[in-house]
Amino acid sequence: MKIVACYKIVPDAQDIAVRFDGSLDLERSEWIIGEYDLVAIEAATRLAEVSAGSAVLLSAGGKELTDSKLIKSALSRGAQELYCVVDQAVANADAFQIASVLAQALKKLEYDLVICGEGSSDLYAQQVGPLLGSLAGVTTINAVSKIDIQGNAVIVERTLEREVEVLQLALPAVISVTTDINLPRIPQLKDILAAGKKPVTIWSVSDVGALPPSNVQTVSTRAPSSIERQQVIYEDASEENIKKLALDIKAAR
Amino acid sequence: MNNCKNIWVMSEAAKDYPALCTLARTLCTTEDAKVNALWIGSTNDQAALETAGADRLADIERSEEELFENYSGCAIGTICGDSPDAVLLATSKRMRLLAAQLAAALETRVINDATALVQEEQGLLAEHMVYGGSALRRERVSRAPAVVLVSDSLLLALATDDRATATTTVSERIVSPEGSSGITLQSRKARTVEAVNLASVPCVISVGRGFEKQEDLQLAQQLADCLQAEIGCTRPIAEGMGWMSHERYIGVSGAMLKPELFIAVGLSGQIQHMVGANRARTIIALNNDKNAPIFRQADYGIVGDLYAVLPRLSEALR
Repeated sequence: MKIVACYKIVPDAQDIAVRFDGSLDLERSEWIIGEYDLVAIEAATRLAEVSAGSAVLLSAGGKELTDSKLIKSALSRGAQELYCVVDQAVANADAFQIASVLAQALKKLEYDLVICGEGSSDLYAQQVGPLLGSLAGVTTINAVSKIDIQGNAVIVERTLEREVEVLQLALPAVISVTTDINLPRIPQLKDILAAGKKPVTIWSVSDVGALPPSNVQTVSTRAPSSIERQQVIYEDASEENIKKLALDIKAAR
Repeated sequence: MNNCKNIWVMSEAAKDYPALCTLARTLCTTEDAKVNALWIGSTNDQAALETAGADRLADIERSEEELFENYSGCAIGTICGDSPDAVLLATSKRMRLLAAQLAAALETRVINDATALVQEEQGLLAEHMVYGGSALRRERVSRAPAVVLVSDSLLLALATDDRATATTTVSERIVSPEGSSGITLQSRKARTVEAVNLASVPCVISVGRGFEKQEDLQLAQQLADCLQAEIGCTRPIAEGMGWMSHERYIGVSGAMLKPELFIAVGLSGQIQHMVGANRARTIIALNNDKNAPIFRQADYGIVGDLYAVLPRLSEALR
């Protein structure tokens, strides 16, 4: 089975700082592969192994995407090859625009199954997978928590709010997987070294098609106002301090 | 988008329709604007839907045994065929998929998890969280149609409002053969969902990776018993370790709380978690790392080993 896993690079949320005016400072954030997408890459790699097939990666984004550390990080997780659409216009694109570019790129690839993470770690709109499947005109499903290959059939479990469905998918298909589906591997040094030798194909947007316009404009992005806190911290856990904390808790109830 | 006079609303649950219709009315720009409700499901809910406040109800028949997604195509065709200015959907996993399919057909993106949605001079304005809860983003629809997934919190706020009861609803039954989504439903089972609603309890203790083993969570349970509190957790505890059910996970993609008292035990205080609890009236922190970010967000905190502190704290509160 030919499998494609999609991923997005995002600023590491841990390093996002808030400026005095409430705007966000992303300058200090390192670019990383979205944590939900690591799950998609892992799912693709495992399925390729059990089905004696192949797993390749596909991404679209700004020039940061081609950073050699990020490419190695992506390819050190078991996939054989990477395709990316790199264009500054894509760096700030919305979910519809990114899904459109990915759908155009997919036409250049042979695939049975495309696996996306549940959502991106930065915006978490959980839309690119479903949009991609719709735009590609193939079977599309989200919230997949288990994948089984039985002969030529792909059977998935879909975990919804109050029920679990067992579904057979006609291929090709685009699915989004939940974080329950696996625990992504931690690449070893030899995997990272080997990743440097794997093929990488870089396209521009015009190589695959065109970026459609966005119908939604961002007006502002601001940190919500925070509540002032007392900040009374007892620096050691002496009997006396524990008693004081117990009194604080009682007073707060 | 300056004109909004044809709005469609949709949900998986009949109970969401009154709030969806109320919200839709606030977005209309003309007196003669129409609010349309679309429903995929059994006819048992017909009465509730007809009094929800829509001008028109399009009811797509589906029996319980059939896959919901096999009727998505019919729903999308009905809505797109009516040239909507906006489509509002109550957020759920099914609706996320349907919203994306609808947006793809309308060549736009989905405005997801809207916590606020208002009509302004320059067009529809929506607000939702981004960057794991670090920020609120405001977005404006510059060209109709808008496809919006409305957050639970916004629907709940509207549901408690007094609203005018229904105008006459024109109801139409759409009988369409089961469509083909490329998906065959093999079986379906109800999920055993733990019946806990953290949002409704005044005191919540949240546990993080500072606990080494699942059995050790009983230390937090003892404290909870002293305070009549419920226990919640960070994402790794629910998803990575699987020590607690999803229903107890607090954070950007889990429960969003506003308790009187929130006690954070053995967790660092990452924004993705804290956004689910940082509206608490009082925050207490227990962590062995005095530099943990949680202390900067706490009213009271103690630096110490949770294994040593929790039993003594429970004792002091007993």
